[in-house]
Amino acid sequence: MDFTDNWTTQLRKGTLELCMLNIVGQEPVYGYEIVKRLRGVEALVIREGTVYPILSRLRREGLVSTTLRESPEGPARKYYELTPRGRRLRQEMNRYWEVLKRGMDALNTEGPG
Amino acid sequence: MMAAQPTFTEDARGVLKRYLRRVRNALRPHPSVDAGEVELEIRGHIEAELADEPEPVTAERLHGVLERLGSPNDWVPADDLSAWRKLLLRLSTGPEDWRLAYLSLGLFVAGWILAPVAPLLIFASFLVARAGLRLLEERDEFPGARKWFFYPPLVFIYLVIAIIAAMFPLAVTVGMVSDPNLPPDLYGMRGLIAEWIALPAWLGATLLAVLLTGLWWLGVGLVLARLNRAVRAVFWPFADGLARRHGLRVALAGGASAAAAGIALALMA
Repeated sequence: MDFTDNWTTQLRKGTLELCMLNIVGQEPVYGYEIVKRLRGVEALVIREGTVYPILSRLRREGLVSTTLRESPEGPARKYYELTPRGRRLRQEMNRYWEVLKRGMDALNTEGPG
Repeated sequence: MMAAQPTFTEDARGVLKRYLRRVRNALRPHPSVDAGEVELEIRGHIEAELADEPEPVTAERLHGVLERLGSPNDWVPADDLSAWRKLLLRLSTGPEDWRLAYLSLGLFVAGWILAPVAPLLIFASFLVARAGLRLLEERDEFPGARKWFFYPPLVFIYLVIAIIAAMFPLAVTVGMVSDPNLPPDLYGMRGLIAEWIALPAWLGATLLAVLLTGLWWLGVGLVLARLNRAVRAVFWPFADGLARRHGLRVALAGGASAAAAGIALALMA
């Protein structure tokens, strides 16, 4: 793995949880749907299985709650939504991300390229 | 969780079963994650991905989905693992993954050389061998030639346990009958043979040994049959084929030997 690969892998890992909190924060959503939405995030190439242990950890930490809902396509699905703590954390993380992005953009004299 | 469960070919079923086992094994040591919950989600994911595939789903198509899911060992960082797990992982991964195997055999050989601490070293070697093999199983890796390093301490300890379990009453009987330092009426055995049974000592002792060993095997066989899973776990990975019927056969053989020896004793006395 060269330097760029290693750096992008680390960066993706760090941002994945924020992406997931942002998806779950929009509306209640089930696990597979989260994976499908993440596929649409350009440059966020992940091993899809990574998403489910993170969901389990977020639930254990009280950041998301789950409810079972009937599905027209088969058995009931487990929907995830943010708890009040999860919403606060999402806000904090997004704020931090914005500050970091602004700071990094200011350093980047090359422009978006 | 999602679409109705697709049907799989025989090969694909095996692939799926092994993958889900890897999921469970990889996640179970992580206290921050509920392995059962994740397994259900993974099943749902696979079913949803394959919902539009023609059935039965082949192993090749399933491989595509599993490839995108990735290796379960890479899903969760090792931060929340216990210190013991982290140490095992550090020893078993890295530039080369033979270190646990070397360590196990090294401790075993040292156990034979350094007599005063032999039991400690051999037991440590046994623990490292079992832990090493378990790690390989969790990662769905074949031990391959590493077996030659892992198996000696396991075979040694298992043989000692098996011999004690099988021959314990024989050793006791022989000891009681032949040891001149023991009191003559120890548990009444020698008195029983010499006076009550009135048989030559060697014949009485042999029949008594067969009777006791038979009764012991009857008990051991029943334990093997009743606690089959526990016995398989103790003698892992060599007793995976041990079934309840094997325990019943041992019990039957023991019962028959005991009955034959008992009848012979009664008739001859």
